[in-house]
Amino acid sequence: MKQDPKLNRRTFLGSAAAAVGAAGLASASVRGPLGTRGRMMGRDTLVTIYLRGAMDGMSAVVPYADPNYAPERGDLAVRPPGAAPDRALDLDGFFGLNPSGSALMRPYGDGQLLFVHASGLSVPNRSHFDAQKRMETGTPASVPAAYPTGWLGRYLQSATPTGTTGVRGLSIDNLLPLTLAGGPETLPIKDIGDFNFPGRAVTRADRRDLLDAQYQGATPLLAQSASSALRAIDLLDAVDYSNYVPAPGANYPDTKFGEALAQVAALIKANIDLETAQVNLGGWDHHSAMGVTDGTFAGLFEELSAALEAFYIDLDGTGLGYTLMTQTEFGRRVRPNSNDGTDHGFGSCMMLMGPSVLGGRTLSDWPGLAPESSQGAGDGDQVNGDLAVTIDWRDVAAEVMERRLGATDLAAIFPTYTPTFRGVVM
Amino acid sequence: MASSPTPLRLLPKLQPGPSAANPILPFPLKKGSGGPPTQAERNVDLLSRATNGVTLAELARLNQMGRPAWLREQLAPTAQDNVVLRRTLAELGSLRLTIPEVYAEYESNAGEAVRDIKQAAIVRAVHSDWQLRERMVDFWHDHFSVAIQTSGRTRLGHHAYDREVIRANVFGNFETMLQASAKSVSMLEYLNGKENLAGSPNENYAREVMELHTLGVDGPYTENDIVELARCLTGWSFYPLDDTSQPGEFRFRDDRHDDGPKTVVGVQIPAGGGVSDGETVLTFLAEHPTTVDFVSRKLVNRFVSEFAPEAAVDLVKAAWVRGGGDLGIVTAVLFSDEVADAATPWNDRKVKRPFQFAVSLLRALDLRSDNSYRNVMFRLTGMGQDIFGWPAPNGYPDSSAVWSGDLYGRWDYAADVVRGGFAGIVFPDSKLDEIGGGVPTTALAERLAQVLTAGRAEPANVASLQAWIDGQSNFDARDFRDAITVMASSPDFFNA
Repeated sequence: MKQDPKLNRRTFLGSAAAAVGAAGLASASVRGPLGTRGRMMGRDTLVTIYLRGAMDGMSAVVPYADPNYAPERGDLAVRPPGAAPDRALDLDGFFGLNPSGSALMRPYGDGQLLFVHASGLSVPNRSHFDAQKRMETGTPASVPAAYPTGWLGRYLQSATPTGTTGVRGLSIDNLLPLTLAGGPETLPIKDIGDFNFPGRAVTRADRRDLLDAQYQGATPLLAQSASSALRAIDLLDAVDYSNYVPAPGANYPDTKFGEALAQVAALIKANIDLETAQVNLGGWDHHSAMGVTDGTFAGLFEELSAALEAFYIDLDGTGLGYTLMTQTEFGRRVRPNSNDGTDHGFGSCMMLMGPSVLGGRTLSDWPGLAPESSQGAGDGDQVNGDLAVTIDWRDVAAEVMERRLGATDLAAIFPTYTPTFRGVVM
Repeated sequence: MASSPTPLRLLPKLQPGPSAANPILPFPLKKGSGGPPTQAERNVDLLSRATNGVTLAELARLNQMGRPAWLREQLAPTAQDNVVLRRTLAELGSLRLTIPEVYAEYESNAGEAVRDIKQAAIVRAVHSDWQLRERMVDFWHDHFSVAIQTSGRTRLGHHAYDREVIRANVFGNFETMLQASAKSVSMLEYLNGKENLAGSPNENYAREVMELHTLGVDGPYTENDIVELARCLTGWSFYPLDDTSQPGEFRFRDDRHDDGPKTVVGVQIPAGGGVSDGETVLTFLAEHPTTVDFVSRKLVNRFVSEFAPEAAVDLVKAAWVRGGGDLGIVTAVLFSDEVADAATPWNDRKVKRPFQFAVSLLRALDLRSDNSYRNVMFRLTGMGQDIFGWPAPNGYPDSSAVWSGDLYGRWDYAADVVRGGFAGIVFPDSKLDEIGGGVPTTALAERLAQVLTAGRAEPANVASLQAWIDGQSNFDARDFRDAITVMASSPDFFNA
């Protein structure tokens, strides 16, 4: 049941004042310094999830009513909705959800999950690494700089910090993704529950201060990183994640990804003015034996969906503003290869989730799947055997940045591109 | 090593070096310090790039030998390994076995074989006298990266991949390494080569071999070239790992090969070429000028500087062409004074990746393991560099920007190792005397700067640490360890 977004918005704002008082979240076992302002009064926390390896958008959100889908997809086609098991779950009479992603039906039914189909880069690029680089830097051409900056990194550079905690962006990982590169007060943290200044307790403060001073004189890369790490250590010391209990019903999968999303939710609920967080989920490069509603694709999609549902439940009703966005570098070829897998393609599917997302639908200017007479002939709907892209991912991201994070300088985030807002968020 | 030594520029005669017993070399190097480095400074710089961590003992040797002789020695490793290395490697059971034996004995316990080959990488990086070889092995494993966890075959196949594809060719010929990787169980399994069949090619390897191993992503190939190369490589497979006669050997399946004519990057492949289709294209790719440029640039970026001028890259490319892809010659020039003069790596030191960080700490403090570094191996996963575990085929990133992100993992490791509480690392208090070198407490920070950074620590950082030491009443062994921890966590130690 899809809610009227406007009604949803009113309800949301109406609860905000009451929620401010509870922002420390006595209900959850997270204690933390109160932010200078409650999130709901200011900007959303943007959570980006990068699905590395190129997720097959058509196995996730199935265009079952496209007459060319089943014949083109062959053995890998998800069957249309119906009574039998292993059928797509109908979304809107045209698209259906892979049943392995059934957990997504809850946020979708609440109108807080949006699929954006046939989306991606503006220009086909079938190299994982090059396509990721172009997407993460937010520029269509490859970037020659020795240390390129990411689109979210540049947002953080151009925006006034929400708070003063010194931790504006993070990735729950060992490495900072290129998306966040260049972002001030931004760092990777593998496990927020294990991020204490190491070593003997009695000398901890002394050693911390020595390093703090030493790194201030280091190269800018190390200086900034050390400053972020030391401030994050102080901050997370106060968050006490080890005692975090997610909201009832928020059952995160017992995987690295599930744990990472739980950590992001805990940080948002701790109200520490975190502006953006990124989590990676890899393994989507299904060149062989990917399966349909059961198998390697479905297993991964189920993990993703279960984690998103848990995240949704965990934050539902808290009044805390967030927008979650999934990205992947490209989709998969329409026709399967000889190994019941799919090779590198072009268009894929994004997801947006959050209380301000105009969800409960699939946004798409569906290009169709009519095959070309030969690959690259240009006489069908496909582009070199691939799903076309009709929505540049930057249209989606830019709208979120302006409307939910208050970005005022989109040109800094996406140079050389003028985005078209598609109405994805309030 | 078969290649003839490249002529290296003769150095001016070295000034009398410090003795091995008490090498005190106070020469702070810092960015923008201006004047050209001294010979002693250049020696430290070379070791910081050509080894897995400077030790004062190795520095003393280099100071005696001079850089050209030291490099020549490193480029021609003998089969002889030192006793510590041999003993430690001997604890790793599967390393002693032939490849068929590994397959036979570890099939049901592949995890143990995986741990052995990962630990062996650490053991060799810490203890081998042939440090340059180990550094280059690390590079080529990234270049021809195979995620060891992909399948049972890649788990069991990595012994052969490490030994016969990477190590066998590290100072041999690039093309030989490329062809060997293409025909290995590991690569055929990892990038779906064995599933690449006539009539319906799997493009995975064909794409990555051009994008990552040879031409580079900006290279002169098209999507159609990928399809055509995949056709050339159809039928490339391997015998089962439990085959009685040729377990894990390369096998060309004629019945799965597309024998029609192909064109790859302008190369005409006539019909009926069989296995030679793929071999011909790989040879062409190995020798392509764009490959020479792409891989030379990558080498300079890894081992010299992230800000190297074209002149430095050009020297390496010229060596590549001169030697016809002889990696011994390429490596000799890569670490030569000429390239260093062009790129001034001492002004743009790279941030150590976790593997080099972890190993360099053990080397600097001369620590040993009583469980062949099993816990160091596990900890590296937590530090972001699970050995042979990078999931994508592009290998671990090689950028100071990337590796300066998570300082915490390395701080935590340094603190645990130095406290003496790290399982498998032996660090008794008696070792502290050795590290202290008999200097008074009032000069301890300077001594630690020697041991851990060969004197390259910033004077201000040494001074602040010394002030802390001076401020401790009853300075004891635990304080001593804390002082080491600070130096090992400092930016001076994070930079290679």
